[in-house]
Parts: sequence; C-alpha cells; structure tokens
Amino acid sequence: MNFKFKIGAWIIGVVSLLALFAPLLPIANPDQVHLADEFAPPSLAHPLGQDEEGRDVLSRVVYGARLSLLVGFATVVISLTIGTLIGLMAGFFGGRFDETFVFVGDIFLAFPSILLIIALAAFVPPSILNLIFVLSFVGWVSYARIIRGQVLSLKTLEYVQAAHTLGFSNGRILLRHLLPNALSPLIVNATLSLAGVIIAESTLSFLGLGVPPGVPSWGSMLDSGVAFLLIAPHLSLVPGLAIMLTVLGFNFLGDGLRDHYDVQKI
Amino acid sequence: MLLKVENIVKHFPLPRGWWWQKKSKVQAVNDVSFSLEGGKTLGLVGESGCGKTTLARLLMRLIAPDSGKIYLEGEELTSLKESKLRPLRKKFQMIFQDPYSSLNPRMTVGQILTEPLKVHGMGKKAGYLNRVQEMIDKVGLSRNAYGRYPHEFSGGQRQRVGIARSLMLYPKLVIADEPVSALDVSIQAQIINLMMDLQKDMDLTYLFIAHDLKVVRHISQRILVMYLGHIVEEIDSEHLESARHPYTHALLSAVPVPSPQVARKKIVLTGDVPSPINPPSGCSFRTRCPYAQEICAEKDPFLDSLHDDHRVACLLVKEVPPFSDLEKNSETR
Repeated sequence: MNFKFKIGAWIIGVVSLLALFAPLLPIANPDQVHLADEFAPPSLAHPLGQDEEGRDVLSRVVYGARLSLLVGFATVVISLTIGTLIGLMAGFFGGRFDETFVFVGDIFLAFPSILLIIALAAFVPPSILNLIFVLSFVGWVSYARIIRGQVLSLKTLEYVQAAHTLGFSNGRILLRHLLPNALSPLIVNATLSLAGVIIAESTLSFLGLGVPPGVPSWGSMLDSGVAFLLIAPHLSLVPGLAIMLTVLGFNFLGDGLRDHYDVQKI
Repeated sequence: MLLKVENIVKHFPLPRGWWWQKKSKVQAVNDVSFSLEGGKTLGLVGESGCGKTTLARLLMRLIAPDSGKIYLEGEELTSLKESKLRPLRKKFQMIFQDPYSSLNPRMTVGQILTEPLKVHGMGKKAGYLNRVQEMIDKVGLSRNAYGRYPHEFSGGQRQRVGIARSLMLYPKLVIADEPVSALDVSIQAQIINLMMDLQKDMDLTYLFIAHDLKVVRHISQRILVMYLGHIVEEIDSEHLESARHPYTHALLSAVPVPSPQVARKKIVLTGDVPSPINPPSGCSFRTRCPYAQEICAEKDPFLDSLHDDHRVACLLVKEVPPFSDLEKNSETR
C-alpha cells in the first residue's frame, strides 16, 4: 500500500479507536456542567479547556467523534446497500427499470445535495436516526451509478457470457461473477464519501438541523463556539480541527485505495 | 443429426440518429441453415465481421434469433424459455476466444471448474474434487492448478482452463469460437491437438469457428464458408481444392504453401467488405467478385447442391472453375 493510504489509515485508526473506547478513556464526563469554570483555558485537568457551560472540550470532541463516525458509517452502509442493489439490477436487466433509474438518478444529481438534505432535515424532527436516513436518501445515487456502469462493461466480458452458457441463474451471475469484480471502485467511493457525509453531518448540526440539542457533535460545538470566538476561540477551533483531520484522513485513505486499484493487478 | 439449424436470421437494429432518418439495422446473420452430425467437426470460416461470432452466440442462445429454428438432438431450442433451457445447457457448451477475459479473475481454477457441477447437481458433492482433478489432468494442466488464480497462468494454459470448464458437464456439442486465434502459433497447435484428443476421448461434436482456413481444415471434416452473414459454400474439407465459390478461392489462395518451390498465384480481392448495414443487392459478394455479371446484382443466390456433399451459393457456379483448376495455372519455379 502507498504512503497516502498509510497516513489516512493512521489518522482514521486513531480517531476510530478514540471514538470506540471513549467511555474507557481517562477523560471527564462530556455532559458534566461546571458553571463556575465557563470558558476556562486549557489546564491539566481539562487539556483543551472548558466551554460556555464549563463542560470538558476534549471529552466532548472525543464523544463527537463517536457520533460523526457512527453517522458516517451507518449512512455509507445503508446507501451502499441500496445503491448496489439498484445499480446491479439496472445494469444487468436494463430496459424499463434501467431507464427509470437513470431518470430518477439524474433528478437527484441535479439538486445540490446539501440543499436537498437541508430541505429534508427541516421536515423531520432532529434525531440521529433521522439524520442517517436523510443522508442515505441522497447518498445511494452515486453508488448505484458506479455499479451500474461497472455491470454494463463487465456483462459483455466472456466469463459472464460463459456463466450464461453454463446455465447459471441470474442471481448467481450477479452475486458471484459481477459484484466481486465491480467492488473496487465502490470501496474507493465509499471511503471518499465518508468524508462528505461527515461534513454534511457537521453542516446540519451547525445549522441546528442535525442532532438533538445537548448531544456532543462537532457541528453543534462549532456552532455554539461561534458566539464566543473572541473570548474563547478554542471552543470552535478544536471541533473544527477534528472535522478537518478526520475528513483529510478519509480522503487520503480513499485516494490511496484508488491509486492501489488503478494499477491493474490482474 | 445432432444439430440442425434452419433459416436462422439475426438483424441488430441501430439507434436512429434523427427522427426523420430511416431505421437501419446490421444484418449480422442472414438465412443460415446447416446440420452437424454427432462426433464430427464442422469448421466455420470467414473474415472478421462476417457474423461468425453472432452465429455462435445465437446457437448458444446467448441472444435470440429474429427467426429460424435450432434443433439439438431433435429438440427445438429457439422457442424454449430460459428456465426450460437451463437444464439443457449442459448438452451444448462454448469455448471462448479470449483466454484473458473468459475466466473470472476472482475465482481459482478449482472454483471455476467446480461451479458448473454444483449448479447442475452433477453427482455427489464428495466426488467434485476428483472430477475436477481428473479434468485438470485431461486438459494437460498440472495438478496444483486447482488452487491457483487465472492470472498465474499463460494464455495457452488459460485456454486449457476454458476448455476444461466447457467440458465439466460432459456436453455433446462444443462450439469453439476462434479458440486459438489469440494464441501463439506454437501454442495453437497444442490446443488444436488437445481438442482433437478430447474429441476422441469424450465423443464430442465440434463447431469450430476460425478465420484461418488452414487451422479449420486441419480439425474439421466439413467446412462452411461465411461471407457477410451468408453461408456461401459448404464442402468436405478433403475436397476443399474443388471449391467453386470465388470467395472460397480467395481464402484458399491466401493459405501459404509450405514449399519454397511453388509460387502460388494469389487472388487478391479488391475493396473492402461492404457494410452489413447496407449490403449490396443480389449476391453480397458481387462487389469484390472477379466473375461478377449483371445478373448478380438482380438475383439473390441461394445455397444449392452441386454434388451430394457440396453446396455453393453462386449464380454463376457453372462458369467458375474449381480452385484446383486455377492452381494448375500457377507456375512452378
């Protein structure tokens, strides 16, 4: 694996471990309010300082990573599954179903996705589940398009033709012959779009359309810190840097994977 | 008769450029009929784009013909639904042209060869490994091929895997679509000899497609010559020298003579193959035929018996001498 992939893997590895083991880490309770210590600068007990209600910023950022990664992975898994199913069928069977998919997909892509997400989020009550649902609703199209294109080119290859002549069922051809060979661009896209989903989640939370109030999230931390930017810049700076680092990590990982798959190993 | 093909037609419609334009279509296979006796090899020659591969795909029912009938052991295939056809598919199999794209890169040779057995429930599961190893031996691969991936093999070895896959279900008919044209000449001979050995061993019937008359002649008892979607001549490969169709003459004269003493007079055809979208009226070969007369543009030739085993589609067949007569005019150095 190349250098970019390694850097990305390290960043994402560290962020994921922190998020996964947050309750076991020697950090303060993220919801513990200390009104006396509001806007406290970094200290030994609170390495990244305290926010406007005296809560520990470090622990809120770590718990924010939990949320971002949960939303990110859940969204990608859901949109990947739906997109793969639809894309496989559209590419393989063609005809009416394919035409309908291309038409609907084009409509989805014609909207700036963040606007569509904001519009949808305005209709549903803020909750983590709804957030995942809204993000997946927009996310599946790109996966479906990628896999459709892959299937269209793969299905003319002789080993797929051979599978037909050997009397294999359509399901077997789709799952055993087409899907495994169409997977690599999908994995690259999934990694890269994790970065996009994390930004979208932060954007929504920043706008107050994401997670319910009180839940530690990078977007909402950024939002509440903005009001105190002059007296306590670390309140916005820390979650902002966390978003940047994580997104960078996923981008490196995705780029590295793409470079890896670009070299035909077959 | 193991295989009987009657008046198969396949035209591919082309997408229309503008709405006022006429819809056009590629006339890939036009009214092709022939039959094939069990245990024999029928060769099919013709240049690129003449419809050979389309015909193979039609016979394999990878695509449906516009009209015509295909009988395999008396059973009509074109009217069968895919679900009815699937169990019959083990009787007719195909060897593909490109050994690099004909094997799934993510499956080992063992998996590739076991899959057909599993799908068709051939015998007991416990016997699969033995049957696959036996087939690996038969096609001349080493035993350790079982656990290896296609990219670990050379082109010739991959083609052996392809042949093994097509024979796993013990088919009666094997359609080989240019099985050696992607291989080196030295490997070509090996693969052809392997196919001939397997034919004796497993009582196979081949439809062998190639653009190289020399190769086809070596393996086949009978030969079909195809031009622009039509069969223009059908002849025993032993009597190939008495071929009467001018196109067959051109193909024959292109085969190198393995003697430095003989200079063969080459019949060089002028011009290109006409487009199958807009084929010439009458005889499709008339635009390049040295014998062509006015009548050739007016009447469609049909495949007519000259002798018992010799059919020619040429309106002027009486005026065209057999190839061997043309050969006599070649000087001997």
